[in-house]
Amino acid sequence: MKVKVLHRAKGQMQLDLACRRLGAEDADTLYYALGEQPGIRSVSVLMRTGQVLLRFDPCVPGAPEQTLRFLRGASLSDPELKKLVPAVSGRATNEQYKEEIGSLIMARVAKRLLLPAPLRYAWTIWNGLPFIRAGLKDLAQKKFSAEIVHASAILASLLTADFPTAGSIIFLTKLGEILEEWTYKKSVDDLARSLALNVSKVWRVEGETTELVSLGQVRVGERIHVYMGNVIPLDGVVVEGEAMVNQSALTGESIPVHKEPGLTVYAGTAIDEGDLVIEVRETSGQTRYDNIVKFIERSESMVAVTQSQAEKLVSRLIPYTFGTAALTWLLTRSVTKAASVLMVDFSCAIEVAMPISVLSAMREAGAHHITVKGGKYLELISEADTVVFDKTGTLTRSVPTVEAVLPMAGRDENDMLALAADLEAHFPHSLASAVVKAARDRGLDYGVPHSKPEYIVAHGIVSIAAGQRVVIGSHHFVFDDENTRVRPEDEEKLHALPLRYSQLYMAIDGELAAIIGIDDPIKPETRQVVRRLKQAGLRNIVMMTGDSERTAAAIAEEAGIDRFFAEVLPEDKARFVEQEKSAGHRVIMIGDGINDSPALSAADVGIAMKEGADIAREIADITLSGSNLEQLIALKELSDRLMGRMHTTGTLGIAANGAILLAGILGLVTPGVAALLHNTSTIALCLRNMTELIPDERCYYNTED
Amino acid sequence: MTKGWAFASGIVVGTAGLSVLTSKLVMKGYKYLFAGAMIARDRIMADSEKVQAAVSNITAEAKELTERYYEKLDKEYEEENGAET
Repeated sequence: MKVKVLHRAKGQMQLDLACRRLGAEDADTLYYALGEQPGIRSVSVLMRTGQVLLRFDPCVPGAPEQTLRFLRGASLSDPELKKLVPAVSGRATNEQYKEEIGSLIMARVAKRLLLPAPLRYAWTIWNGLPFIRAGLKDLAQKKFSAEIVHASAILASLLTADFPTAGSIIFLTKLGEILEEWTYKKSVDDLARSLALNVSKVWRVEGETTELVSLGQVRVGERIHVYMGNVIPLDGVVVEGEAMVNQSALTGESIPVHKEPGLTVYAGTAIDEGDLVIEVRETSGQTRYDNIVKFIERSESMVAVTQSQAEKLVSRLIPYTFGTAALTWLLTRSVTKAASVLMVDFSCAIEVAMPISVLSAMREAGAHHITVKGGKYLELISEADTVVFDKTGTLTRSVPTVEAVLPMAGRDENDMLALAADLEAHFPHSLASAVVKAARDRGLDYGVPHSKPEYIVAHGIVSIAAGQRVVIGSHHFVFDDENTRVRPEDEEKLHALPLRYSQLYMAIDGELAAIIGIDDPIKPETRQVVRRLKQAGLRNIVMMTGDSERTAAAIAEEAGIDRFFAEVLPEDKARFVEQEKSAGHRVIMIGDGINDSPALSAADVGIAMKEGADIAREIADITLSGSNLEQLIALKELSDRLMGRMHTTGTLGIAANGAILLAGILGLVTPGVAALLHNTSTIALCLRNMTELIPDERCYYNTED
Repeated sequence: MTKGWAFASGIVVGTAGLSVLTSKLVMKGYKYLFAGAMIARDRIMADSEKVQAAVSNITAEAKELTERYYEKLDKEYEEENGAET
């Protein structure tokens, strides 16, 4: 498409596209397509003028030129680009609110300029009635809310025939309401969109065959097979299989529910144990999205404790506002001054600006590719002093690699690897994936007929292949539990591999057949992240892993972690978390596997990594959709700053309103001006709370995401 | 005198006036009126987008200016005191 650069500055560009205006669909395609380009910090699509404003990341050189090239070669009707637009984009909502505000302002200006006085007064009274009615309703219910204060302010101005003041109060209150509703809705929308887990591929069952297809291709009535640890992507009815399903995305409870044929399952829930074949009943992305929005709106866990405390405090202040107004009237005999007191409503700042700051922080976290499911969690992170890390996939690279396959005497290396790969292919564990990948890299064929492997959590797997009992797993599992024998000539091989390799032992028919050495190097940023987290106040850093003692020790030392526990079972992880909590610590748990779910639920804040099992991401309170641990530092800083901001919101709100109140009582300002100042300061506070907590200019990530 | 006129005009408006205001012809007129208002509103909102663009441009350039200013100050400081190692 034709693109003209209208303005260019460092890190910013204004582009004109050769069209007078952009429709909603095109605007969305453009927005999301540009969002994918590297080095873009923000995109503003100006629908009504057919222009785009771009801001670039200073740390990515050449981004503007690259973006220009992309745009010049792209077309808005390209289906590939259109695919990038999520099922529900927030554009319609935003435009609707923008128009509402535009209409409100225009109506006010028109009214002031064009309408003759009597009609104007009548209009004002007409507009004021709903507010007065709302206030009276709350009064009848004995609920001291801000509505009563607004209503009395409007009533007072109307009764003193001060129509201009009444008009401006009504206008400002309406404007405030629209802005508040808009910010709230936008934030919920943004959050819901990021929570709508993009399960892109599913296993579709047709008769005897199962094939991997993309989610969009599944129709109502078709059957899909969902395995353990995965999210159920669509609503449907179970036709085969049995499972324990975690429905916390829908109901908020994390106790798994038993599902069997005939029962309904819902999109967004995850399978804890077992697997199911489901007949699909609902394919639209809308239902899933709507469910999430309902969940967010209903969820108590949204509200940070600080916020709810502040709100309670403020509602106790409201009777005092009336008291002060009455007192002022008694002392000064001036209704005007008393009315000024009513204009200043302390609760506004708290009730409106605080939720906005929380939701804005959650959105900003989203911009850092972190999904936060509730404001409460940011607060808890700020208070936290303990972090428990899972090892595999969290501290270490998410793709461990097989470095050595050590067959025992008489066995062939590739045969052993192929067998192991066949069995491990069923599991979403990162060690399993490593084995599968290694076999694929060597071009080894699958196809050893075997029974469905039984997975014993944190230990290993058992299966029958070609009539023989095959077990693969940890040292403890293979030797202690299964009593595997080792041939004398193989004894020394047990110590052949380097300490840091994780070792998978494979035994056939009770005899050790091979040792697979998997190298699981820590991520390049791990050491630095651990150090910085300690500096940020998370003094107690613990690593827990189901892996062997020696591997754990090696990794812990490399990462700079002093406390670690090896050969840990999932229940132990959860138990440890509970212990720390009762000892008074605030605990953050970070993990990615199925066996981390109990601990993730038990912790004050559970964080899941992107490559983790879907179920971990479902249960977790925060998910990092990147594999970079540096996001943790951003998260901690964001949380600390949010807390700071919430405190200053309270302080500034009270200080500003207190000053206006005093001015009103002293007669320095008229009620109209007081109302104007109050509303302006509230809106200013809200706008400030919507700004970024972490300034843009910093190059936040040193390594690639 | 004026009171009488006020009363009379009130009656006229209340009876004939209302039926005029809601007559088909005038209703049609409202369509155009509202459409005109909406177009005016969209025009104004388009202008506000232009303002948004202008603000974005200005902020970016202002940032650049301040950076250059600080760079200049740094250079002058270096020249006076000798560059730091």
